Amino acid sequence: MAIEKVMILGVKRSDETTNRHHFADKTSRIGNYAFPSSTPSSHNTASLVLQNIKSLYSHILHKLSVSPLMSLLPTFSIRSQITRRLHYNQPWRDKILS
Amino acid sequence: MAGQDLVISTMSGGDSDQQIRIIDAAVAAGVKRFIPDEFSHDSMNEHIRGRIPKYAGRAKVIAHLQKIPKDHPDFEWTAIATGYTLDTQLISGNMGFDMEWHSATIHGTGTEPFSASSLERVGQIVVRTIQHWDEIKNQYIYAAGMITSANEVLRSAEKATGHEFTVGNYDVEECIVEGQKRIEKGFPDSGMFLLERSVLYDKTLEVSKPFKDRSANSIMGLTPESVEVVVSTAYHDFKHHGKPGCGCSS
Repeated sequence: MAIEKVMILGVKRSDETTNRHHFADKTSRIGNYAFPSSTPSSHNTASLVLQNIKSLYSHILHKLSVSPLMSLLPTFSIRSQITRRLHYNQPWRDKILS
Repeated sequence: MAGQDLVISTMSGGDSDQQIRIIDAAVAAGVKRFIPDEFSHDSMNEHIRGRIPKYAGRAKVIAHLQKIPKDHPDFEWTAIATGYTLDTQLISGNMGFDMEWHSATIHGTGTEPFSASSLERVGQIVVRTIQHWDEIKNQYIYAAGMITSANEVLRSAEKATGHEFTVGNYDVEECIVEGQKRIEKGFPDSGMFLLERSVLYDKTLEVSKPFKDRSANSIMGLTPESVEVVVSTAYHDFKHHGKPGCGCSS
C-alpha cells in the first residue's frame, strides 16, 4: 500500500508567542495538528522541535500529500507549563477516534 | 488519525506514557504505520538510558511498538536514531561552542567519535525511511549524517568564523555531575543538554558503534554529510537568522 497520507505530530509551547505564531502558521498552512508538550521544554528544545517539524514538512511535502486540517487545536488548548504534565486519557482518545 | 497511512511523532518531550497513548490511539484508529520520536542519540544503548531518563522513556515506547504487531499484524513501525543534531546544538550553545565569541568547552580529549546529523538531514532521513519502508520496517534503524568528533567540529567552526577558538578542556565526569545536579535542583532542561553533551565525549558508551556497524544509510541511498558544510551552514544561519535579504532567515 502506498504511503500517501502522513500526519506529523509536534509540540507546541504555551509561553512563546513567536513560536506559537510560527507553529500555528505552519500548522494551518500545511494541514496538520499538534499536541501540546507533555513536559516543560526550554526555548532550545522547543526551537529544535519546531525546526524539526519545519524540516520534516519541507522535505515531505514535495513528495507526499498531507492530511487535511483537523481542528483539534482549539479543543486541546495548550495548558500552562506550570501544569507540568498533561493527562490525556479516555476522553481525549474518544475525541480523536470519533 | 483515521485514514492516515503513516503518523510521525516529533514530540521530543520525555513523557513516554503520553506517546504510548498516542500510539494506542493510532492503532485503534486503524493507522498502519508509525514513526516515534527519536531523531537523536541511540535509545537502545543501555548506558545512555541509564544516564538520561528521556532515553529510557523512548526505549519503553520502542518496546511497546514491538509488541503491537502480535495483536495487530498489519501495524508497522520504524524508529530512527540520527545522532546528535549538530547544527542546532552548535548554534544553541548546548554543545559547548560559542559561535559568537569563539570559545568552546570540550570534555575529554575531543577526539572521541560521535554520530551526528544536520536538521536538514533528519528531514531527508524521514523521507527516505518512507520511500524504503518495506526494507526497514519494524526495526530500530541507525542513520546518521556523519561520524565526527569535537575537534573536527572545532576546526570547522574556526574555518567558518575565521577566528581561532579559545578552548577549555574538562572531564566528562564533570559534565555528567553538573547535569545531574541541575536536574536534581529542578532544572531538567538545562541538566538534560549537559547529559546529552556528555554522550559525545564518553568513550565507554561506544555511541558511534551501531551507527557504523548497522547503518541504514546505504539501504536508503544516503551519502555522508560534510562536517565542514554543516558547521558553515549553521554559522551562516546563526549570523543571518531574522535578518532580511537572506533565504535562511525564515
